[in-house]
Amino acid sequence: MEIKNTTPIHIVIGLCFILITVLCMTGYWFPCFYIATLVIALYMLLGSLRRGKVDLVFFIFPICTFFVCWVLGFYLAQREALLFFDRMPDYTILGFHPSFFWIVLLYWIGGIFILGFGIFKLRDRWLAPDEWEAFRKKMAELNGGAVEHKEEAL
Amino acid sequence: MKTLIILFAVFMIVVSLIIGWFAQRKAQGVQAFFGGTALFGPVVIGFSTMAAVASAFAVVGVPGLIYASGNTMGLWMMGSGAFCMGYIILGKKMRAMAELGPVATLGDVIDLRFGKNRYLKLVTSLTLFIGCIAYLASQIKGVSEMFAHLMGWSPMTIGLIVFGSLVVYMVISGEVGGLLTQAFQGMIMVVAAVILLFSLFWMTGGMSEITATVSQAGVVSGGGYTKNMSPNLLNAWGTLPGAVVLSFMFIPFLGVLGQPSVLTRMYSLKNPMEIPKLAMWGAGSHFCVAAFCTFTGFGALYIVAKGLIPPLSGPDRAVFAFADYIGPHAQFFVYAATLAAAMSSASMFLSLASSIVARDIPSALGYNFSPGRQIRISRALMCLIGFLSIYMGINSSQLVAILGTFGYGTFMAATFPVFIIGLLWDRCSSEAALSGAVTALAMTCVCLVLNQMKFSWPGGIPWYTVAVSASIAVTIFVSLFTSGHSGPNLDKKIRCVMDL
Repeated sequence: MEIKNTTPIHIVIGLCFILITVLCMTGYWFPCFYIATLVIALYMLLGSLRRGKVDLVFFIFPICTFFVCWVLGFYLAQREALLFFDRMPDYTILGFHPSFFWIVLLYWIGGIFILGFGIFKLRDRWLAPDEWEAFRKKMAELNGGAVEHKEEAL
Repeated sequence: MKTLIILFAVFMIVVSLIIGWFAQRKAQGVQAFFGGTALFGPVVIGFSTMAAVASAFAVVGVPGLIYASGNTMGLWMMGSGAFCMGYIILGKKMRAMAELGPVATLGDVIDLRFGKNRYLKLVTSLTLFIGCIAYLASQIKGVSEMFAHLMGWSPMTIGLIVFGSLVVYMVISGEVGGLLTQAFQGMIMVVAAVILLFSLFWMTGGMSEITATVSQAGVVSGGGYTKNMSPNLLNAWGTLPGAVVLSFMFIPFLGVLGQPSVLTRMYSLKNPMEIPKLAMWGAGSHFCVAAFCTFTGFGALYIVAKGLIPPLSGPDRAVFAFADYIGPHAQFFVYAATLAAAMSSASMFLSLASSIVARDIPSALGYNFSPGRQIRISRALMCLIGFLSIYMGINSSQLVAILGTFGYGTFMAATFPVFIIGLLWDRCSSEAALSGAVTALAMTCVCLVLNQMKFSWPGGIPWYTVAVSASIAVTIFVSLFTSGHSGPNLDKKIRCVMDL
């Protein structure tokens, strides 16, 4: 899949920022968690593009997996927060308030694990060594032949 | 115990000075002195980035806010995955900028991307400079007062000893020494965090006991203070307004990308193929420190809810009250972690502030000093800024408090249009980036005044969320109608970076 023009994505991101601000100001703060997650995922999509091409595997894992994990985490956290609002929860999960447990598992640990494991395991789909070498050669060509960039002399 | 803490503080200062002394051999050129450009591996950069991001506020302020309002602040601290996200989004592009031309500071990246736009460089540098001074003074104030209270010395004496030494090793070795000492201090923070976490769970018996005790305690009084315990403190959102909850998740997570301590480290990495390892080290070390800061807040709630100590006189006492209750080893590690956190952040911001004044602002105004002169000026400025910050941090509490509201959000509002949108979008024009940077600075100044007037935004939304949204929206909107250094006018080399 190729995205030749990223302008629409940037416009969507800008609109999301405005929407988040307006919704928070008018008291509808919870849907903003989903919109914010979308903004983060879109930025990761933009950061992972290589010559405008989307690597489908990297897009599915970690980017889409992260999106699903967080959306699910926020949904479950809010559901349990409303269920036990202002009262002692009927049960805990591993000792945590059931609402907070989903934040710990899916927002905190899930976020680290999916993104960390994703970039580490699929590093060649994010930046392959030959791509970096080709970039350096291209830079050398454009800089007039010098592969190493010279330190400013004292 | 007091003697042990003093000995440890001396040990940390001496080791930092030794690291600084040995690092000077590497700090020979402008890029090395100001940026540590392309010099280090993922372990050093990972620990250093985490330590520079997690300031004394994380160690002292976060447990205090969790004690006061529950898990709202936990969301802020638990954004460890942001390091991985940040490198996925910008890691390779920022590192690639160091291959285009001499990159020693963020101002150099602006020059390369936006064709030496002097106004943009000036506005961004000024905003970053004010943010740096704010951070620096607040670190000095916090640690000097804390150790003055412990040792019975004046805060000025403590400030001069601790941060005076910091100025010395930064002057000797620049950002090279800064990076290495921050990595050392980051490791101390992680070790202290792990030990304190074990102590917490050993003392409380685990989260079940904490959840049950805090949820059922109701109103707790004693020692002239009252604390209203509630089950809502331990749910996902805590007790602050929803708009604050959202902002405490979104702004710090995405805002990691806008922190100078993260952006500058991206080009300090020697081999860009190691960015994924860097992401793991950064996120992993932050996870340990975040766990310590968050669960210490729960620990403070637990000992108050159970009636083991009276309610605290102020939230910032939470981490110390908890450490005092656990025992001498906890006191030792809390002081060690706080000192390490403050020194690492302070050295980062001292180096950044001096490089902005010695290199970026003069070049934005059309004065280009020779590399050797830049370093000499920077060394003199480090002394001046360092000692002025010590004076200001200790003697001008009100000014520090006002400047303290400058911080995370301001950095994000100022840097996002220039570096993140600028390096991800070929249509982002120099006019748009300048509009975004001016909006960020103007909004921040206006909001500072409004804050002083006790103005509150609708829905309780924090001012920096509004400032960040405004600067990003303005940048995108203006880009659609302007073309300076964007689209067909984009430099070929920048196009290669964006394609990477």
